Amino acid sequence: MLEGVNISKFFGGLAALKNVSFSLNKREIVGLIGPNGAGKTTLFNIITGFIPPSSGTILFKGKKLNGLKPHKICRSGIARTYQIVKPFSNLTVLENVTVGIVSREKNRVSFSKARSEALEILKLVGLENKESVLAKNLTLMDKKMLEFARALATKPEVLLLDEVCAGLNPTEIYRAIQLIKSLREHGITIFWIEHIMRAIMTVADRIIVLHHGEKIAEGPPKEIANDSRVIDAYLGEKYLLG
Amino acid sequence: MKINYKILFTITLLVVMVVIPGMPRADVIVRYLLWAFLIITLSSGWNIIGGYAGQFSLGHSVFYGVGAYVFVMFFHSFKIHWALSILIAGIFSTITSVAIGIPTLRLRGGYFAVGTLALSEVMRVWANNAPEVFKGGVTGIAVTLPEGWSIIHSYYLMLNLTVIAIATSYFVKNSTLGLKLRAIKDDEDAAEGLGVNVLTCKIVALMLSSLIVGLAGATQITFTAYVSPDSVFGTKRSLEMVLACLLGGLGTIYGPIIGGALFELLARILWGFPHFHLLIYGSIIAVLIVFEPRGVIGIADKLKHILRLKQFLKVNSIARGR
Repeated sequence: MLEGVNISKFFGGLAALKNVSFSLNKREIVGLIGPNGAGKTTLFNIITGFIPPSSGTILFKGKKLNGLKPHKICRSGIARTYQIVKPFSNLTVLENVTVGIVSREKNRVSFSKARSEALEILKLVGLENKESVLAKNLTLMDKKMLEFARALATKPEVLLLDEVCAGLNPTEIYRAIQLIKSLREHGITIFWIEHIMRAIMTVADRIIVLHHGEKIAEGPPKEIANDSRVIDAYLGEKYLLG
Repeated sequence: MKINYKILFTITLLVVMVVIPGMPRADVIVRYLLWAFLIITLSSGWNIIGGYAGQFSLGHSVFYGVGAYVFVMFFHSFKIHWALSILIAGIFSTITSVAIGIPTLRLRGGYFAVGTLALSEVMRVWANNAPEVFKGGVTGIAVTLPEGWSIIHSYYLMLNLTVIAIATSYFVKNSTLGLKLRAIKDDEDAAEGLGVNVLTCKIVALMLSSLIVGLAGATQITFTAYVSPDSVFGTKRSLEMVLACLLGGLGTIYGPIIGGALFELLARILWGFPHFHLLIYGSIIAVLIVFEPRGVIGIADKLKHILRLKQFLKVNSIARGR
């Protein structure tokens, strides 16, 4: 489905990503973890076209994405959410979602149909009662759900989630997890950055670990949890002996 | 049946505007309205790119001036019918906007504002120094109007253009383009990431905006009968439409209408204090930006809130038996 081959990114002399390769299969939930500054969000920014890679290629359904503008990549079927939420503050919740719908290239609908479709999506994420609230007045949880809704509005085949659970309380995390699971049922492939292990370990089929811009491990959650390199990266060498 | 007061009010206002020139001794009012129409048209046009899309252009005098000079060229020099000349002027202005927009609209926020500000000065200086392109040179040129043309003709022409400008503003605001522009205003990256073709949307908005401003630039010649580089180009012209928009309310349909009418009124009152009027403009804008960036519309909104709150408290205290 989505594939990255030998992606590197240098900011000046600093290597944010070094020869990272990955591939996602259809309807898979793949977790992307790693300590702060490991290059996770940089990888997302490269996939979605916000920054160009220094080398390497991104393939989506066999087609190269390199050099395409972010809106083209989005229209081809890759949507994302942001770690720091970016709602359109002065638009209502409904309008926020409608923007994604009216910007699609495939599955075009009229403006009035777009509104009713936006309502459907809001129901899915549980924001249907707040459709006419300005996005800036939402709570963090609701803003995160709005990020979800907006991404879904573009009818993505692959959804990139950037720390959707960060800053949420346990009940809210549970709700987010349920939502992510239900998206898989809708046939969406998910690539998910998360720091909350409890959340990602229970849901992901496979986990990729980045450390200092390099992929140090990949495998099912159980294996990753016991991988010595991963524990080393997160906790430091001395914990390995114990 | 519920009466739609908005539509009723609009129609009444339009009818009043149409019959005013027929009133006895309406000369002063006609003159005021004519200039108010001009500033309303300009700021409604500017509002599309500056208010809806949040691209704070300080270079709209370029489109105004291009409209004016192209009109003079076709109407005065080539002797083409005035209506056709106005249309041609609008088209040229739009073409200019594409040429300007493609490079400058890649700039963001303050950089776009400063870039367009520079352009508006560049045009003024160029027009002052190239009499072979800009007819009349520094001193400008008087334009002979068609025989029998009076201010009343200009009044109705300008009224038509104002209605067109406001209607365009209304339709853009309620279209998918308007929605995308407002999204761009709030967060360009998020919009781009959601599939909005940000650059194309901004260019289309700038084209519509400059078309309106260009048409207005051409139309005003029919009542000023004069064009010179300093009368149509330059920062002062660019700022006028921005100020009127800020005064009324940025990004709203009514903002430029209220703002334009107030701005012209203010200009007329301050006519007698030639050295103070800029100072007073500046102070008003500074105060507005600090206390109510949403202009008159914002103040009205706040008042409505306060009234509602009072009503609520009153009802509450009655309910508590006080």
